[in-house]
Amino acid sequence: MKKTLISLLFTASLTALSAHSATPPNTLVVAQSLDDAISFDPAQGFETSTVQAFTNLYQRLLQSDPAHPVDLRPTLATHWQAGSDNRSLTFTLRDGATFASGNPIRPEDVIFSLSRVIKLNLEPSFVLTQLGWNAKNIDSQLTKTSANQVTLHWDAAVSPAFVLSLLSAPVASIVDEKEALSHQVNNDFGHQWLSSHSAGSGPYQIRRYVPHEVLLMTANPRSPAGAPKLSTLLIKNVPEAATRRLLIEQGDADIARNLGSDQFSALQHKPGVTPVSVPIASLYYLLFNTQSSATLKNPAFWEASRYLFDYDGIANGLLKGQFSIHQSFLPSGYLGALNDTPYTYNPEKAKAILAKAGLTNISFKVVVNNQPPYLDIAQALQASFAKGGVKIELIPSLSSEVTAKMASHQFDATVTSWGPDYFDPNTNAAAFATNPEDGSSTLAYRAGWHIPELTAETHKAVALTDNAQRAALYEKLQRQVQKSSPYVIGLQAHQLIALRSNIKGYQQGMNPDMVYYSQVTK
Amino acid sequence: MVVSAPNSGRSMPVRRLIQRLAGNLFSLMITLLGLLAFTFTLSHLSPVDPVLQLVGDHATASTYAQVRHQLGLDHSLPVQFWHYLQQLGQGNLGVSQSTGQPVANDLLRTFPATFELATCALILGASCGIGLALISIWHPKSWIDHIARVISLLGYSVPVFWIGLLGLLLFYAGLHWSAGPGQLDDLYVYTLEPKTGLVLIDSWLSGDREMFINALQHLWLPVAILGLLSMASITRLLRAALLEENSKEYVTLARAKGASRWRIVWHHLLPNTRGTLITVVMLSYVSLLEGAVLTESVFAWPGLGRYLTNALFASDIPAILGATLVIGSCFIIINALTDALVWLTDPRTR
Amino acid sequence: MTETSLPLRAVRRDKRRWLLIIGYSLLGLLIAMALFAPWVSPYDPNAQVMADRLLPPDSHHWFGTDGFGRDLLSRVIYGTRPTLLLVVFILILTVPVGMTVGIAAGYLGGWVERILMRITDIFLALPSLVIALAMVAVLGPSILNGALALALTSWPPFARQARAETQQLRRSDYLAAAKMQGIQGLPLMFGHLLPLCLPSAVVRAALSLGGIILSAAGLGFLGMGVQPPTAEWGSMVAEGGKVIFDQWWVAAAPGGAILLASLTFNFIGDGLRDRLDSRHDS
Repeated sequence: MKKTLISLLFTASLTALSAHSATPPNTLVVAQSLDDAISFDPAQGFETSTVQAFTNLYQRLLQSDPAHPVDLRPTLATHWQAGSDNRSLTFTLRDGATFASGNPIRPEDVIFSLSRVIKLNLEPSFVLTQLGWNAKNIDSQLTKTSANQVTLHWDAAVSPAFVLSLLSAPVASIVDEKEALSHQVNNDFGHQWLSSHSAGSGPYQIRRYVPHEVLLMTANPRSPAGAPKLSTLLIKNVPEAATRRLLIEQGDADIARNLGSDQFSALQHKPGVTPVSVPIASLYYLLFNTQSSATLKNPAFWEASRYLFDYDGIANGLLKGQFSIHQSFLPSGYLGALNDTPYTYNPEKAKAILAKAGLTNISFKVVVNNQPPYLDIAQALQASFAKGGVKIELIPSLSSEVTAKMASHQFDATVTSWGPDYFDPNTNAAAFATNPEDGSSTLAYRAGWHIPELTAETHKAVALTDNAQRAALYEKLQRQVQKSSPYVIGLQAHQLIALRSNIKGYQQGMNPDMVYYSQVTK
Repeated sequence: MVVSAPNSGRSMPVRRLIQRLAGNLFSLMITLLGLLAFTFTLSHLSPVDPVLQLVGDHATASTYAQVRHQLGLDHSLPVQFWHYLQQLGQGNLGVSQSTGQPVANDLLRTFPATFELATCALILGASCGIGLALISIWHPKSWIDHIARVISLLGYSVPVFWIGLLGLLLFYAGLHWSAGPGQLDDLYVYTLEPKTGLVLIDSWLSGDREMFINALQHLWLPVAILGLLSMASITRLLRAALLEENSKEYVTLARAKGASRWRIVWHHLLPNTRGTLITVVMLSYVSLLEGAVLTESVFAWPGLGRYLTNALFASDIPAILGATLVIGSCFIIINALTDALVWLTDPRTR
Repeated sequence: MTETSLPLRAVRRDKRRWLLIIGYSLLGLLIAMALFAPWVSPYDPNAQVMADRLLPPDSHHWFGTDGFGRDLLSRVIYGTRPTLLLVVFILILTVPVGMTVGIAAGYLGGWVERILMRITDIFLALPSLVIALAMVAVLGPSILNGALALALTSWPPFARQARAETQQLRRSDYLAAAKMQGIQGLPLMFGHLLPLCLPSAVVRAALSLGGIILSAAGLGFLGMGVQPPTAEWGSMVAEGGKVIFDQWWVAAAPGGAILLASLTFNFIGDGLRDRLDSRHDS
């Protein structure tokens, strides 16, 4: 009797505690993984979570049109003029634009934002140092030419069009100089403070940041882009994809990012949820270290590998919806992208190629990030290569280890991804098709591939001013790399996200930073 | 013929206690130092390059060298360790490479969450465990005894991450009896004033009843699961100790003299197993703190365990050292406390 | 009069036999699965069949299939191999080291004992899972590294126990007789003390193996287990955790296996300990 009473009480109290779910009104709750975020200072932040935040917290002189990323739209600059030598650009700033703090946006802020990137010399600075800028010369390269105009000079042999696309990258976000310097410690240009606070002109501003837990942003009504429709944006850290899927299903989140294929297909017919597959510019490939063995250096092996990658099995089976087949180094959507996919999975043909080249008993180790989808792709490759008589041993590691091993050339092969750093074909071309032989770490350098002609051609492409010419040259380069190189590029990623059906106005573009929340309503 | 009675004369000279504790403090320090040295060496053996982490893939050789010098990595390992100890003495635990915050801040933020989880689980587990063990000894070889035995054996053998996942599946996804992962609903995340870091206390203090209930909704499932595990080990060990005590001759004699079951349990068995009881409960506490690494991963609980796991995966050396220091210190302190308490309450050990 | 104590002893004797019988049979089952895996498993545990991904349990696949279309029953059967191998490695590493340190400390006494016990205390204070995780993160995931990492923090209890027993035995008549015969030093430690400390070491080993299996599975769960595609229960639970809300069986099967293995050693440990206790009693 006592026992039944106790169990009744228990059940009753549980029901009373029964949780019901709904997200707060006027707040957009986004469930994603924030574990990669280190700092929200645009001079340091280079991870997916951080660059996405920059798009909503800061503005740049010009930015990609969300609907057509190839078009650059004036944002904080209303117009610009290239110098006669094609080595400078003068920008006229927007009238009456202010930061969230109320400080007006002046040329000094532009100079401050760009020069601090160079002087702090953190990870994303390489984007701007391509222009030949360094800590010594930067102060002379950026000049204020009038009350609302600023001129940028550069020495490198690159076209103004290229520079414009660099300035549309998140690292070129314009930071409020007065605000940042008021929190400066030890001459750090406000770096420590900006890691967890914002001082920009974007539609949102950081209200509270708990590292790896939650990023809380509130509306910035003063933004030149206009106040956002929803007053609060809450990004919560939910590291597991399965949990993100559960949250969106139960209405505990409005947007769930980075779902896996299985979660995505499970959500297909759930009421109240709209799954969306967004093509992004991330390419997944297999890279061989040609210095590690004679086999891996042999172009016949490279060719055979192109027939041992199970493109279809992965893109349409294992990781369905998460990938499409793409076999060249410019992702579909970029200027000059090559969309031909001449290779298919054909172990017999691969065996024939290997036999003809006299390559037998091939076995090598693949070091790979132990997180999905890398490990899944690697396991699939292990099985598909085995059918062609090639043995792969997998070494799943932490992503930091994979980077370290690649940097020190201590690997045979790796399965990894490459995402663009800015919206211009050079971001990928420089990686795959150049090896400047000066220690700069391009992918070709990591693979130990020496390509002086390709390098020269790629550098030429960056200096061309005619888009049609550039596209033609990039196509030629891609065909060459596709035919013979120590990479097997197989997949272009799609990001699988889910929205609650009452969410409208969400926009996402190809590059990792192109996530726009300001027009979202629910 | 030994009749053991609870110790009378509680005139415990406090001075002796302090002397003993002081003596132990020295060995505590040595142990802590050993722990630090081991973890330090281990972290630096990692194949991951912390400089590369910071400057990124595209940095030039001179930037690399500069940052390496800044981080002090161009000195030898013992010298680096000495620098670390010096800074530790000043209360500076370094800056985390994965959160960008001072490690001390991170630890202050994450430790209360783990502490809250472990303590609530221990309270639950200890009360249920002691109760179950007592019931077992009260009704030996009854069906309750069997059930207690089965529960404790199962709880002792089940992997916590597995049952955590199944618990989420059943109670969150299935029955909606539990709120989702995390400590609070989003609504409260930015209205909660973090005074102590302990969500239950903070939400109670804020006066918002809804918030407090919400905190309970998030807390109950991980606490229940951890409590089950804790209860299992406590029941198992305590029951064994009680049984052993029960079979001793003085108990037989007491029974022969007509003592009631109540008297035997309360006046003979319990006092003499006090030492084991304390040890067992503390042991459980220690394993709860350590098991946090797995539990917090499953429940996305923002505690020290998850902080450490992330730090390990990011090869964030200052964070790894800081978190290990805290966990290891807790271990050592709890062990010392156990020794002290056992010594205090059981005259036989003196 | 003494009616309560006798039946208790009888009950315990029955339970003891029971426990050991169940424990040994389960252990036998595990060993058989590990040894005869190629013959017992219906499928190749590494055969990926994309068309058959995530199938629920049915007559073809008794436990269903995982995300790569691999048969779960076969993977669970093959999963006994890394587990048992790990157990063997850990036993080989911890018991001899622990006992040697403990016996040496207990027998030699003095500053040797103090230093050895200090070292033991330091290792005892290390949080085992955390250290194991750190070590495997550094050394790389493999069975040997996992065993090394877990053994590093598992040997202290053996040392402590051996030392306590040695100290007790030092005063016994048996040893006094040996000393009178002139046996001392190493031959005494290994020829006489060791065999006497062995039974309780075996019990302690059995008791701790249950927990070690859980720790090893925990390592696998966090991604630091053996390399894929090797079937290992902990990493299988992690994979299953990703799809648990729809395909619960992918995580249930390997988790159940972990539970079974841990139970086996706990049964054996409990049974042996009861046996040992009664030997002490009588």
